[in-house]
Amino acid sequence: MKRGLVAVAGLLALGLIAPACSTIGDPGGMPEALPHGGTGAFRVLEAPEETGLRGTPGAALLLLEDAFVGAMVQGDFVFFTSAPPVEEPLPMVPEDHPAGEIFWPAFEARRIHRGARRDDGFGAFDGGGAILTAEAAWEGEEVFDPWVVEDGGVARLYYAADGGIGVAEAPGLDGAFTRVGDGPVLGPEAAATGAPTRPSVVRGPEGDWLMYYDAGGEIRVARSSDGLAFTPLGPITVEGMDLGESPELERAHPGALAVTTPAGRPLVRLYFESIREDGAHKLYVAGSFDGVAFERHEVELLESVDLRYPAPVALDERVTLLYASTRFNSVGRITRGLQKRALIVSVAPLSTSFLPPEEDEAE
Amino acid sequence: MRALLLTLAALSLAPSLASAQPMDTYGMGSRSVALGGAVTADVEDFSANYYNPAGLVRSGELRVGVGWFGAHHMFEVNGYDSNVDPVHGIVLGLNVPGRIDDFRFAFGLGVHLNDQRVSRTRTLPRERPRWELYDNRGQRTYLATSLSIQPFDWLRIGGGIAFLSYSKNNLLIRGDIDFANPSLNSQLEHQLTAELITIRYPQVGVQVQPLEWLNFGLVYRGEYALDNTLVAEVGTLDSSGRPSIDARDATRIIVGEVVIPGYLSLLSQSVNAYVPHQISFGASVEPTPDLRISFEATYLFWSLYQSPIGSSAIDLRIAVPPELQDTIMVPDSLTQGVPADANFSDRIVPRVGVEYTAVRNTDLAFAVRAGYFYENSPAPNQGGAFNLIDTDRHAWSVGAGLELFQLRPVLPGSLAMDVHFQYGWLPSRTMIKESPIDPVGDYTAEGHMIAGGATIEARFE
Repeated sequence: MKRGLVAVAGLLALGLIAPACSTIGDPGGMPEALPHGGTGAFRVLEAPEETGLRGTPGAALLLLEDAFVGAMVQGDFVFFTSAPPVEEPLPMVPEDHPAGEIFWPAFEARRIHRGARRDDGFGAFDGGGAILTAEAAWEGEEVFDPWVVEDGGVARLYYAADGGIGVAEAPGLDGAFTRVGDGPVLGPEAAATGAPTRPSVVRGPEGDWLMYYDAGGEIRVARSSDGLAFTPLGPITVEGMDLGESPELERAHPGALAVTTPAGRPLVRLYFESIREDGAHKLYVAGSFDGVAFERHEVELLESVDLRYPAPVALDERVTLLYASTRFNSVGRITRGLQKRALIVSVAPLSTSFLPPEEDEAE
Repeated sequence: MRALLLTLAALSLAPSLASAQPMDTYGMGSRSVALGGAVTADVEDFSANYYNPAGLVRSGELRVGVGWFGAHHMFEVNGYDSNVDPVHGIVLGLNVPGRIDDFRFAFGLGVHLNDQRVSRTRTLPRERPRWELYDNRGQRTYLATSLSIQPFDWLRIGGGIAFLSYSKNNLLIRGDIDFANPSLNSQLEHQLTAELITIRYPQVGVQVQPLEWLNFGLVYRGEYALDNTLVAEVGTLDSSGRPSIDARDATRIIVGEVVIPGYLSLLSQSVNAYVPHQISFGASVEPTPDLRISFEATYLFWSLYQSPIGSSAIDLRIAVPPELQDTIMVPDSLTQGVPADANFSDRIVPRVGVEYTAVRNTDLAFAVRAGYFYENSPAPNQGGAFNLIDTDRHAWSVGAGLELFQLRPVLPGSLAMDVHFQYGWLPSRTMIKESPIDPVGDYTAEGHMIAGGATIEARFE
């Protein structure tokens, strides 16, 4: 009997010990990735995470001599406003010239450039060359604020000029753009608050085209069924709390992004520049189910006092890149010391990393 | 024997170490899990300590069982692995019968001991998505002690008390923090105090056997919630217990040549691993001696759930030097977190189990088993700021049991060996957000889980 009990106890003990010895405690697991609504916070990508340009962390495009502003990225190309410096000597910059603003008299007329993505870094582009300069009478001297969409194999370039917003088309993003029509698709009469600039065009939740544009510090929207003939709908409405300390004076330079949530719901996210009473230019985002009535996110996307021209790109349903221009003092031979701007790119969610695998492991 | 009974009686009333309840999710004991948990009516092995303590007295045998259990989760949100930790560990228990004249009784002890961690609490950011019923719930040790009596041949009554604990943690940091080079030049004292404070919950059950082939069972398990309290202080209190930022030993932030005395207090209170009141009613029939079929329904009062979205209070005081008044802005007040209602709904879980004894002779018995249960999710659509993820769950299980009878003189009784495998399917569920600018956005959650285990039980006549 005693031997039997010992044998059974031994068997039970073996059953107890064997599995216990086979396991060792692990640290707790964390999700591979959490869902994200593209609202921020964003963080600026750093070299070599995006550009490979050592010494200019965060810069996705930096022009030594030419002025640069108002970029957007479509496919493997960046489209932006640029202008070379005027012949030397450059005019003197007045002492009261606003901080962060490019001193345009030091540069020639603005035109639209296209740069290609470089092979040596994520999000870094070359300076490219001009693809559109002012020619039509309604355009005046300059064309600027490009926004490119692809529709049925055609690349469509929306741009601003003195006389409103025009359209040019190309057979592809890398093709030659030719103007569509003889005049603007949205003229200066579209808004009483100011001439329309900075068009940003997306497919709306109902499948039609929505053009957001800046009209004197007010963001307005126009609708089109074909992307060419737009009907102004008026200013967008923006509700929700704003936790910024300095009051918001204007909302400007919209950058729109049409997304479909994992639930299959179409949304428009509108990233915009919030110009504050203290002079700061901050980036915020608002969202809308119908493309007209928006609800804003309450805090800024990226901590900075001077970020402009937000241009979002959705990498997938949770990772969003946000291009924007930041203040930069020129180091070029001709324009040295002039206040210019450079393109930076940031990402949300914050945990997203584009570091090469070996550098990830090194951390 | 009397001394043993007294010892067990004392054990049943003594507070245990930290315990909790992974059993609702994973079950206990291979035979019971293989039957889909539909065993309330006639359970009699050590898993009766969880399923129905009334069953402890049923067999009249002294039983000692031990086994291993493991569950692996493959849960995804928007296609990304949620990395919900596996749960595995040892299960063990015993039934100790007794008799005073014709009055039969039994004591029982059931334990689930995780082999990865004894207990875990997590305080996550309020809006952070988490698998509410799986993320942390299984990371507990379970201990139940029970007493069962049989006043009549057809009636068994049992009850038990489980002792649980909640944690109260206090983290105190004081000293100098070098803002420019915190890892090298900061001089800080840390003091961490963690307390596990005991709470109790009851479970009672009854088994009725009006006919040899017909059983009914009813069990009630009490509610419990583990309160999780975290107090973190960076700074010093004066002699009256008030934050001091003027004392010489006040905690200081150092930025270059600038020294800034400060004080920060964070109080976070939340509920962890809530288990609701629940009532199970089950029946089992044996239409033939070799076939047993059981049905069961469990009602869980999830509507009483105290949300894990707890409260937080922050007190920040910084004595900014006059020369930095325009540079460093100290907010007048910081947003305090307030508890948010989970708005869960009650649910009924149906279960069914079938056991067929394929071989039975004087040497051995061999049985095969199958079971199924369905849990509808008590969690509502997470349309607001919080993200308590849950979906329905279908669970199918299979198992087998071998019992050896002729083991004398080694064992004056029998030895039962059971194995089980369970597959759980959590069908896709999409959470729709009310705000178009929700920081998390819409998401779809789904998953699979597999579990398995084996149990050995010695049954002494």
